[in-house]
Amino acid sequence: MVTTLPTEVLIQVSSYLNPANLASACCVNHAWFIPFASKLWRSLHKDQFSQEALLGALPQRLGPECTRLIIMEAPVLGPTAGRKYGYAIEILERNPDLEEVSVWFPNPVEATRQLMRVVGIVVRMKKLRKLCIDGFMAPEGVLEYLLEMLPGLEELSIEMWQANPDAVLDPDFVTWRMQRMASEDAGNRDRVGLTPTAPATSATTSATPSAILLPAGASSSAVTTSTTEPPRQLRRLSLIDIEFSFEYFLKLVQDYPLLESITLEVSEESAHFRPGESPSYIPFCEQLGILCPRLDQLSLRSVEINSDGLEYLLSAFPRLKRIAIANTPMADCDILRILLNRSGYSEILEEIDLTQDSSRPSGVETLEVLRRFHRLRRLRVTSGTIMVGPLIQVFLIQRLNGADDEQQQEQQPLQQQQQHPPAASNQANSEDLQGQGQMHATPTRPGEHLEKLEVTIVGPSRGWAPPALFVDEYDDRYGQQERDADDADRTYPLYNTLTTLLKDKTLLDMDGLTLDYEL
Amino acid sequence: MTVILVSSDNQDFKVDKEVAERSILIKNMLEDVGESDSPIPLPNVTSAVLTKVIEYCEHHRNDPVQVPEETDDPRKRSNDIEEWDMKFMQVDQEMLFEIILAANYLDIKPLLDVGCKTVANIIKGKTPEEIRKAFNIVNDFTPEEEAQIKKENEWAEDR
Repeated sequence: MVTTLPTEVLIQVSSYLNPANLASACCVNHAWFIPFASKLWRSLHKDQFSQEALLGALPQRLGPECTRLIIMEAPVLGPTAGRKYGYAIEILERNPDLEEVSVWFPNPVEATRQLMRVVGIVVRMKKLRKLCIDGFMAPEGVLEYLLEMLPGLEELSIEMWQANPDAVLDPDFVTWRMQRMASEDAGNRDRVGLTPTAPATSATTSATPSAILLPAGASSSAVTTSTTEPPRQLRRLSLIDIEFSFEYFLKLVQDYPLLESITLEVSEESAHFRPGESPSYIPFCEQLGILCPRLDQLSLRSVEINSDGLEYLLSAFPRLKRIAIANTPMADCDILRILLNRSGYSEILEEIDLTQDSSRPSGVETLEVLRRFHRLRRLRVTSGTIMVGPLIQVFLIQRLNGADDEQQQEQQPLQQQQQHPPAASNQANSEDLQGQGQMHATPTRPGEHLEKLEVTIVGPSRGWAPPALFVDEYDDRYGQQERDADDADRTYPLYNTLTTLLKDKTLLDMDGLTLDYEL
Repeated sequence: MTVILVSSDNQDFKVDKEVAERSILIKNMLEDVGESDSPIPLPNVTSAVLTKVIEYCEHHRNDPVQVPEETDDPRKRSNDIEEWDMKFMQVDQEMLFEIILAANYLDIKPLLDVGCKTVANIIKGKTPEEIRKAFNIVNDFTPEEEAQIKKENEWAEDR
């Protein structure tokens, strides 16, 4: 006697039912629950459910296997009928073992009302490793409070950060803040400071592993009780759309020696990353490198920075692995030249992501980066337009073991760059900009680790590659008829050479390439 | 050309190869074995069920190969069943499940689809209790569990 159907059949049955029928079917028995309930929960489209009813159901659904919670948007944060707090807050409260929480406040009013409540709950989540709060409107000190209460936190991302003196305060936070103020008054104020005589400078050897293990020794926290506690775990700090001051940032990061990644997107009123304009900038860069010796990832967006500013900032990142810069006044070519000139970077940089609005071309520098930075996994330069000939040469050069005369000629455009010597050249390396001397010294080949290459590759004429692959296939440069006549039975030796070489880079995803041609 | 299928209760069924090959399982078996007169044992299918399945395959012997509908949106999926299939599926619950299981085992996709649609049509508009009754299913939820699931799914009730 057959009384039940296999789950795979029930799943197929579920595909013929609407939510109401699925809701009934999953009540039938245990065997029916999983196939029908999972279909039901996956069938959610915005027009198919009321958010409130959905959220009413949510809290019970998070079992111990659920470690990550992302709450997007949502009036759900606010109180609703019969509930003191919103659903999202109830969900947070009932799941203290979450490891990753992202909360996005929909509007400032909501944020004002609810943020402190969320903070009060979140600081009790001792397993929390990753926290993102978007729409951060909190009284001063809350960020520090969060960081201090969650020593295990590895990643913190705060967006839309504004001071909010009117917030309803959490009693624990009030107590913490009073203690902190008391200890600051007791003379521990401004431990970091921005003067060369600040105590933290004693940790100049902190790049060594032993200093990393005992970070709090030199600049032991005024608020934490003991200097022997393990270092706080924060690795990634992301402050987006904030009002930024160097002093504040140093204070914030001083107890996080393991910090590896900094992402900054600052508001207009913020301090400028220019040594000439901000007197505290150079000390800031120096202190940053000392306080956080592990820094190797930097992401800047909408930051007022210039070449000098970037040079100084990079001094805090001697082991830079990843850099992303967007929407700053700097030109891509200048950024690339700075990277090329820093000693050691060619051996360690893995990712360069420049998505700026540069008017100046940076193809020569981009090519040089490809030639020299053999560890690169990802390279995106929005203004990076590379000539196909030199690019092929870069990838060919190792194979041929020495370029012949023809290729030597193709390389000539590279030499033009010497007209713009880099601003703060870092001794020996500047010579390499021109030649390929370093090429033979390194055991790796250009592009060997490339996974993503997002640049524009330009050929000498329209016929260098299949026209369908060009950025703008239907541009006005050629009439339709001419195009059709052109395209029949063409072969593309340049293009074929390029793709053969690129296919050699087994890790490379070719989709990011953009092709174009010169007029 | 004919093949011989043997049901779990050892009855032989002589059917045209074309009909038998509506079952992808049998089709693959025949391809693997090559030209052979040896009977094909189907230990998971009783003669009563196999009779029904062969009846279906005979009727649909000339159907073109089905292109599966790939859509997740239940509102776009058709529950329509052809008239002949509808009549064919008018069997008791046990036979319905047996046919579905056989179609699943023998890999006869169109028959499995018809079976699933039939089950779906029976579920439609019924309460959980009515569904249990229709399919002879024992409720193994505790009252608390059932109340909880109902509460969680309230949002879907009029959807």
